[in-house]
Amino acid sequence: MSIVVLWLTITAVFFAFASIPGDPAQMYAGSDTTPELVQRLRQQFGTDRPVYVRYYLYLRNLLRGDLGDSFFSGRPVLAEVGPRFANTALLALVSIACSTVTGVLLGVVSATSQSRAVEQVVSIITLLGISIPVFWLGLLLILLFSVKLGMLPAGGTGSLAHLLMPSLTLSVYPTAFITRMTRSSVLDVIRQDYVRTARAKGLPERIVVFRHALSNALVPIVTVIGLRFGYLLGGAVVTESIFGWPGLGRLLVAAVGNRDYYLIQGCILVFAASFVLINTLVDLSYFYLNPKVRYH
Amino acid sequence: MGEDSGEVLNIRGLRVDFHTKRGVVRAVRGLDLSVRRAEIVGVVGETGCGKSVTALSVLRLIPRPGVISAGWVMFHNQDLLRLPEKHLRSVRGNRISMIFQEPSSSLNPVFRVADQIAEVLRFQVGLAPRVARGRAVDLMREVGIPDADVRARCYPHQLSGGMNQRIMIAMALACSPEILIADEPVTALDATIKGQILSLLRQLRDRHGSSIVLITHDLGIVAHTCDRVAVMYMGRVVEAAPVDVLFRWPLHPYTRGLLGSLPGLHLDRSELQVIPGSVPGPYDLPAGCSFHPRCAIAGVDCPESEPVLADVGDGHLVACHCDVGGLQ
Amino acid sequence: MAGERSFGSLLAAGYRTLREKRLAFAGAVVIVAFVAVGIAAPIIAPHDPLEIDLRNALSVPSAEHWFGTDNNGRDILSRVLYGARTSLFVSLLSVGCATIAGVFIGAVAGYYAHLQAPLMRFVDIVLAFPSIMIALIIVAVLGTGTMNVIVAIAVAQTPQFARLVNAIVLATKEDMYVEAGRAIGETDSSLLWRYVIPACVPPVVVQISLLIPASIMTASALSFLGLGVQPPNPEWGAMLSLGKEWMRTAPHLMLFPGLALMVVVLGFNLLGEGLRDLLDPKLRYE
Repeated sequence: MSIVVLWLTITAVFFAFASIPGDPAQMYAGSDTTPELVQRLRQQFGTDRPVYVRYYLYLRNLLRGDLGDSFFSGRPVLAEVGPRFANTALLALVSIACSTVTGVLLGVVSATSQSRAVEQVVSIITLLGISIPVFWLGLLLILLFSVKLGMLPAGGTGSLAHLLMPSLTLSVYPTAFITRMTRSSVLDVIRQDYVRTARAKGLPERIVVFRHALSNALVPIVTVIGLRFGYLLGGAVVTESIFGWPGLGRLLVAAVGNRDYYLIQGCILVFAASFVLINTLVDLSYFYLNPKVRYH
Repeated sequence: MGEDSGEVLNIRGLRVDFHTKRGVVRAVRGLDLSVRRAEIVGVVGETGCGKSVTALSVLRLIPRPGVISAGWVMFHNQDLLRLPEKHLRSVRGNRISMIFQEPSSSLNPVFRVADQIAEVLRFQVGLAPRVARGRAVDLMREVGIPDADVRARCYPHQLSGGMNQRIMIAMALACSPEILIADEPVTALDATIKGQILSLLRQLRDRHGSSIVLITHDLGIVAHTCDRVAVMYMGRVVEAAPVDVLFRWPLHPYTRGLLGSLPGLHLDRSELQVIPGSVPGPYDLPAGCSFHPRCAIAGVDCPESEPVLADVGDGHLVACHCDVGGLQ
Repeated sequence: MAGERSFGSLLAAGYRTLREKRLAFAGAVVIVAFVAVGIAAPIIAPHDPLEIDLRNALSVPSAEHWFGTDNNGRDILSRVLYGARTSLFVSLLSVGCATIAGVFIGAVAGYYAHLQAPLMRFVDIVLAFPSIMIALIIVAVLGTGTMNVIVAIAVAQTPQFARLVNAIVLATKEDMYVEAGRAIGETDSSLLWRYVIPACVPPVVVQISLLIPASIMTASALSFLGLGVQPPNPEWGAMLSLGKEWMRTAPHLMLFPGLALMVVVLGFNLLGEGLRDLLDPKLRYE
């Protein structure tokens, strides 16, 4: 099933690019060139063949692990994509992990707090969190911590200090989103009969909330986080660009700017595969978390 | 009042209010109730009379926007309503337990049933997890669950309503409580299972000596299972007596109306009686005695003030301005 | 339920909600201001947003230039005001097209059972990607520029409407009153107009309120990356990109466009919350 999805994605993107008028070879060769050079580039890019042949070749090479070569750099797409994928994955995982932990805690606090002040404060913070443009936030952080305070490096990679600001920037939106979801889910669950039973058993309130309520409240939350993973990390593309983080998002942006079609296809393929993988993981986790599904 | 009279629980003047957007709903308005050792007390009334709210008040489980605004609940010389949370928690599930109307939704769907029973033992008695689990399976057997060791690993959605109610009862009895409050325990169950659960409750009272407060709207259940019964109307107890006394000599006009509307009960009537009028809405409480607009014998005093529960002899209590005691 | 609440009662309830919830009201005010500024920018802007004045480049906020000037001496306030115009234009057109296309696709897929699976499968694929990636692909195909940005965002957002409408059409098809209607011989198109379409309106309106700020953000992100609205057109994202370059010497460049973006998105979110409370079925039982 997921294979079908992946295949459809690749196909759609491929034909979308193939249908563009204009000759990438010509574009890359430039204006001051010879017809032989252009023709050689065409052969190199593979654009001298008809569309369907190219499609077939593309798929065949794909199965062999060959995603073609970048128009811009000439290196194999896989070589460009590989290491950058690792960087993006690191950033994404760190951000989601921090966001989930923080968001769930804040959401629980907001849902169970007796004080209206706490509810209001969290509500305002989350509202700001989902409204602030991620690239502006990144710039503000750089301004504060790099330019004014000189505490953190403004870009690049290589140490924990380099990871701090990008992941903080990327985490703000998911944290706010998860906080709201958790709050709403916990509020639903805490009214349920089985929570009343837990209290009637004389259990301490923290057990009631974190063991009985949260275990049920987390099920829809985890599902949504998984399904909206792509949505939550849409900011990664811009974040990487701001902080010069050598990841897949930044590569994609550069490739689009260069009209480097094989590279773009490669990036999209990897992203699509990641989303499919995450969806599958979410399905599995849902199966594990919800006994009603496990034991029919 | 006090332990020498065999009383384990004494509720006096209980008032519970719900603060809603449309106004304050006074769900319980000055309720008096006492429970003796090893006694099954039925609390009966129509839907909305406040019987469930009363039950929840004992253990202070009233959800927002409800507030217990007055009264006291004496349990062994301690007022449960003014007990600090920490001490209350050692009463809940331990010395006073509660079971609810919908057993399947009252159990946590993501935990196995035996673990939910064991949880009480671990927290209240401090048993080690393995020991608690073993004891939980024993309790499951005691409440009549066949193949208890297999069923122990089940989740609530895999068991029937009757089974789940037995699990709830096992959970409630785990620490041998002195009082078990049962809020409409069989209302949601099939007719055939109802009797089984009720006789289980009676057996457990006989075996453990616990008192049971049985909340129900079903007079038949009261007749079969309870020792004493309190009749509630609009947040107050209007009559309380031993079961056979109440059914043979109902004194309060509301009780008489209730019993008269039952087919084939001890009253000589050829057709079913209906209490005229209907229960007032929660926001339109009548002044004085809340029953007086529908009462056949309403007098001058009735719209003026609430009648107080008075003893007319033989443990029979009635709250009525008219001298109904004379009818006995 | 379709037709249960007349448009008039909905408006009345809406007005009541706005009055009661001050935050939603504030949101509405912001949105009205945004639209007003967008429309009236040519009239209220103190300077020409494209006018270059290199002698006054990078000057801090002053009486002459309330928001200061950028590296070309252009008045930032005017550029922010015109930026609202750009954002308004882009978001309205893109969301408008997405709504029409999405509703059409969702309805068609819901109505013709044999089209349901393939169309919705494709919709799901697009939905899995963040909008910006879809927009990037479209830009890669079509090129940069304002009109292409509009198309890109419209394509990215169409699936959201398609999925929404599809779900409603499928649910409504099974609904009992539609069956009843069919049983007494109502025609399909009459059923469509009387039940299906009214059922779609509230969720689509809520979705629009969510997607307008999203489209503004995506357009700004694209322009920030240099792949959207091209200079020298005033656009908040593009201005932020400039602000990044001059961060060390002239931080005020990046302050105002970002603030404008946040305020507008905040306004929509505030109003969106109020709208959702209003149109949520829970409220109908009040």
